[in-house]
Amino acid sequence: MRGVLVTVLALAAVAAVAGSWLAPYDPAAQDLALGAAGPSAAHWLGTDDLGRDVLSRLLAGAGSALFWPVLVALGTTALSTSLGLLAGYRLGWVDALMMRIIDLAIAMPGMLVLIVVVGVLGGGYGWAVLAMAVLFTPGDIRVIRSLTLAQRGLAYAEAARTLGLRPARIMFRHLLPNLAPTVVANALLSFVAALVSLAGLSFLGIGLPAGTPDWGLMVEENRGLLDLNPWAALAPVILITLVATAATLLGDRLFETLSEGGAR
Amino acid sequence: MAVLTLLGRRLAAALVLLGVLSALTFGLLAASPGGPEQVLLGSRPSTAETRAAIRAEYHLDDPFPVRYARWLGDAVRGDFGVSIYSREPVADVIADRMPVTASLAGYALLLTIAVGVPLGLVAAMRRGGALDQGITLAALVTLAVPPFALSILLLYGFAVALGWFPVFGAGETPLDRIVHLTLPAVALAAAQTAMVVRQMRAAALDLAGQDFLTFARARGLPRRRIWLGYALRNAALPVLTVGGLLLAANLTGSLFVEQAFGLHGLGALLIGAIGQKDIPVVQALVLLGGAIVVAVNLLIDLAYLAVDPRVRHGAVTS
Amino acid sequence: MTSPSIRAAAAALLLLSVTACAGSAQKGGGAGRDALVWATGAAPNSLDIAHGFNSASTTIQTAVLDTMVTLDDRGTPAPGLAASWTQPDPASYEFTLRQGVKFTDGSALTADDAAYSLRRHLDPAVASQAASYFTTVKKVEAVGADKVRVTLSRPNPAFLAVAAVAWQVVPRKLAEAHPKDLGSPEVGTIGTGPFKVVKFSLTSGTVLERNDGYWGPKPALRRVEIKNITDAETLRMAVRSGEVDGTDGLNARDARKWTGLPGVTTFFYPSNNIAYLSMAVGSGPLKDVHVRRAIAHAVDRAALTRLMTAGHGSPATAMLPRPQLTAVYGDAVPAFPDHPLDLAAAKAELAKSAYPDGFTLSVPYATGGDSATVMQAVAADLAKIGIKIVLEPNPGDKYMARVMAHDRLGIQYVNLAYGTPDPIEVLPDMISRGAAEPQGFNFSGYGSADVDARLDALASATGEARKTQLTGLLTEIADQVPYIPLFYTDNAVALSDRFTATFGTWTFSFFTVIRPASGS
Repeated sequence: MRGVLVTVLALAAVAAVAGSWLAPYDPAAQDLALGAAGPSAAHWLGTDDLGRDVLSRLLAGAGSALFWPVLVALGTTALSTSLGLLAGYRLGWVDALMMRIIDLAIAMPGMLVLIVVVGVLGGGYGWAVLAMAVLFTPGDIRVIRSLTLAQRGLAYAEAARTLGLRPARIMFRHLLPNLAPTVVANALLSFVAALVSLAGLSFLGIGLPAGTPDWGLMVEENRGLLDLNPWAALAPVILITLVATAATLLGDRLFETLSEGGAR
Repeated sequence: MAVLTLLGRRLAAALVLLGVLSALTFGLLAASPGGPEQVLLGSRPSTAETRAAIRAEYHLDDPFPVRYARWLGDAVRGDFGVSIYSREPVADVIADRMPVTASLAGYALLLTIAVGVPLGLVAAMRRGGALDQGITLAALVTLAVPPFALSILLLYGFAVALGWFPVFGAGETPLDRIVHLTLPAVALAAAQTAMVVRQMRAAALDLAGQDFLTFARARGLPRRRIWLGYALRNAALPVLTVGGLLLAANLTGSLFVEQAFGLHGLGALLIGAIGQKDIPVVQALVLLGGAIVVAVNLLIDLAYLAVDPRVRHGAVTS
Repeated sequence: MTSPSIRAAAAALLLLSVTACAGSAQKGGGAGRDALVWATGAAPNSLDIAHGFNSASTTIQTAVLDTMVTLDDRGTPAPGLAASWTQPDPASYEFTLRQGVKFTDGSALTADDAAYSLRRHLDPAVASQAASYFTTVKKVEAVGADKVRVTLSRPNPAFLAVAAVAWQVVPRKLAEAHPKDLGSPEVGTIGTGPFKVVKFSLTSGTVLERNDGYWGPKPALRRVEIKNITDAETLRMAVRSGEVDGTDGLNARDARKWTGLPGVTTFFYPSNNIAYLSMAVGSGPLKDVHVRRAIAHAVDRAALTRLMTAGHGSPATAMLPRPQLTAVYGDAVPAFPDHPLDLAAAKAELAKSAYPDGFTLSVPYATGGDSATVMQAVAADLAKIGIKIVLEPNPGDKYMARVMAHDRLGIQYVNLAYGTPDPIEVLPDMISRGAAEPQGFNFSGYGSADVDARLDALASATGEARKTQLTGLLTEIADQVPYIPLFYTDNAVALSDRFTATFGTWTFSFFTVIRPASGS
C-alpha cells in the first residue's frame, strides 16, 4: 500500500518537475480547427476548446497545480510550528496575546473573509495563496501549542532546562522531534486542503490567468465540454483526487509510524 | 457565575470581532478601484449630471473615515441601508435569501451527522477490518474531490443523465424544496461527512483505550451496548462542537454549491455584491457571518458548561 | 413530467429517512401548453429602464411596458402607444396618443403619463441609466388630452429610434412617488403592455400573465415564468433536462454544445452588435500608430471569427454594427482602409515603431467569459511578432468595474450590442472625448476637438451629407486603428420543441413572438 502511495506521489512530482518536457505537444499550441475533439491516436485525451492537447496540458499543469499547495503547506507549517512552540514554551504574555489573536482569527468566518479579500483585491494568485496560508495557520498553532505544553512538563525537557540550554535549542532540538508526527501530518493535510481549495477558487473566477496549464483551471475551463470531450474536465479532477488521497493516506501512515507506541 | 462571566467576556470579544470585520471590509471595498457608479449606471453611456448626482447621493467624495462613521452610525441603530443593486432595504434582501441558505445548511448538517457518525463508529468498532478500510478510504477520496467538481459531477450524473433530481432552483413547497436541495446538500455535506467520519473514528478509538470502557468490557457487556451506551455518550461533546462549527461553516461557506446549482442564497448574494461593490449588502453579510460564528461558539461553550461538570468548575482550562 | 420528480422525492426521502407525507412536487415546464419557463443568464434587477437598462431586465420590461414608438421588422420607427406623430420642425415632434388604452390597474393612459415618463429620465434625482439617450431633449409637455410635444435642443435623427427603446410609459403617479425605486421588487411597476407582472422577486424569479385587456394583438402565451441561472453550464443542463423551456443566455460560440440537445431547437438571428479590440492610445507602446497597425496585421481575425461565432456570424469590416451600416449605406458599403492578416507586414510596421523587437504588455480580462478565450488567441497571434501579452485574470464583475473606471486600460476585448439602427448611438461612445472619461465607452481614449465637431455634424446631418460625414469618421478609425473590428455574432435563443417562434434583430420582446408549437 505504501508503495502505491509513494509511486503516485513520485509520479506526480516527476510530472511537476519535468511535465513540460514530457508533454507530447506544446501545451499552449492552439489548433482552432480541432476544438474539443474526443480522444484519438494523436491526442490520447482529446483536445480542449482551443484545440490544445489535453494530455500535454495535464503534464505541463502538474507543476502549477502542485507548486502552490506545497507553498501553502510549507508556509503554514513553518509559521504554525514556530509560533506554536513559542507560545507553548514561553507562555506568559506572548502566549496570552497570541491566543487572543487566534481566538479572534478562528471566530472569523474564514471562507467569507477569503472571498471578500481575494474578490476585492482580485488579480494576483499570490493573494489567494497568502490568504489561504493565513487561514490555515491559527488552528495549527493551537494544536502545536497544546502539544508543546504537554511536552514541556516531561522529564527530558525539565532536564534540558536545568542544564541551562538556550530556549531556542530546547524548542527546536528537543521538543520539535517529539512533535514531528503531528507536524508532518498537519503539513500534508494543509497541502491537500490547499490543492482542493485552490482548484475551487478558479471556479469563482479568482485564480490563475486563463491559458495557464493548471489542473484546477482546466476543470473550470473545460467543464462546458462534458458532452464533447469529457476527458478534458474529468482527467484533471481524477488527478487532483488521486494526488490528494495519496497525500492524506501517506500523512496518516507517517503519523502512525512516527508516533509508534502511542507517544504523542 | 461562571456563565455570566463567560457571557460578558464573549459579548465583548464579539463586539471587537464585528468591529474589526466591518472596518476591514469597508476599507477594502472603499480602497479598491471603481465604485457603485458602475452598477447604478448599468454599464451604459452616462451623462456628467447623472454621475455627479450619484456621487453626491452616495457621498462618494467624502473621505473614508467619514463614510465609515456614517455607515456605522446607521448600523448601530439597526439601519443597514438600501442595496445599491436592487434598491431594496438590505434587511429585506437578506431575509429573502436566508431561507434557501438556512435550509441548505440544515439539510447538509443533517446528512453529515446522520451518515458521518454511524460510519465513524462502525469503522472504529471494526478497526483494521475490510469495512474500516473501505470507509476510511471512501472518506479520504471524498475529502479529495474539489467541491465544485463534485457539484458538476452530481448535476451531470443524477440530474441530467438519470433525471432523478432537478438541475437548479430551490423549490416552492416544503417537499419540493427537499427534492431541489438534495443534490446541493450532498455536495456540501460530502467533504464534511468525510471529516466527521475521521474524527468520530479517532475519538471512538481514543475512548476505547480508556479505563471505563475496559471495565465495561470486563463486566461482559455486549459490544454494541458498550459502544452505543458509553462511547457515543462520551463522544457527544466533540460531535456537538463539530456540528456547531459545521453549521456555521455551511451558513457562511455554501457559495460554491449555490453558484453551481443556481441557488439564490447568501453565498451567491455575497459574490454578486462584491462584484457590484454593493457595500451595504457586503457589510451586512460579513457582520451576519461573524455573528453566526460567534453565536455558535457561544452555544457550544454553554453546552459544555451544561454537560461537563469539570468545565463548569473551571478545573480544565483552555 | 411528474414521474421524475416523484422518483426524486422517493430518493430524497430515502436519504433523509423521514416519513413521507402526501404532496406533489411541481416541476418547471409542462404546466400547460401556453405556459413558458424562461431563463436568463444574468439576473434582472429592475422593472424600470431608468435603473435596469440591461438585457435581463429589459426582457421583462418589454413584455410589461409599452413604448411610445416601436421599431418594425426593418428597424424603422413605427406607432406604439402613439398612434401617429408629426414633426412640426426638424427639432420637435408631436405625438398623438392611441385611444382607449388602460394600465393594468384599470386607470386610463393620459398624455400627462406619457410626457412624464420621458421627462423623468432627464431628472438628476432619478439618475436614469437612459439619460444619455435623451441629452438632446429640451422639453416634454402634454398638449391637451391626447397629445405630447417633445422639443429637442437641436435636430436629432436618432431620437425616434432611441425613444423606441427607452421611452417606456408608466403611470405618472407611481413614477413620481418612486423616483429611485420604481421597478424594484418592493414597488414593482404597472404598464399597458401585453403582459402584467404577477410576481417579481430577485430570488425566486418573475411570473408574468397575459394582459387580457391589451390593446394590441394578444400574445399566444398565457403565463411566463422567468428564472435566473447565472452559471452557463447549469443553464444548459436545465434546458437539456426540460426544466427550462427557453433561454437567451447562450452565445453563438457555444452553438456546438446547444444544437445537439434533444428536444431543443436553437435559433440564430442577426444581432445589432460588434465585437472589437480596443487599444488605449494614451501611453506606452500602444500610443504608436505603427504598433497598432502591426497588431491589426497580426491578429488572425478570420480564425477568431470562426472560433467565437462557430459559423453564426461574420467578420466585421468597419467599426459599426452591420444593421447600422446597412441603415446608412444600404448594400453599397464603401471599402475602408484594411490591415489584412500578414505577418511580414506586421513585422514591417513594428520595425517602423519605437519597439522593433516587440514588448511586453499586461492585459486584464474577465475569467470565464469570452474575453478569456479571445485574449488567449490574440496573445498567441501577437507572440509571433514579438509582442508578449501577460494575461491578468479578473472576476467578471470586477473586470467590468475596472474597465468602466478606465483603470489601466490596454488591449481590451469588447462586444457591445446596441438598441437602434442609428450610427449616432455608437460612434460618440467610441471616439468622443467626453466618452474617454471614466464610465464612458471610449476605451481607446482616441479623440480630438476636430473629431468631436465632426460627430456633432453627423448627429444632425441627413441624406448624402450624413454618408460623407460617416465615411470620413470610419475611414479615420480604420487608418489610425484605435480599434480593430473583429466580428459580428448572431443572437441565439434555445427553445424547447414544445414552442416555436420567429426572432428578428429588432425583436425586443421574446414573449410576444414565442408560441406553442402546433401538434404538441
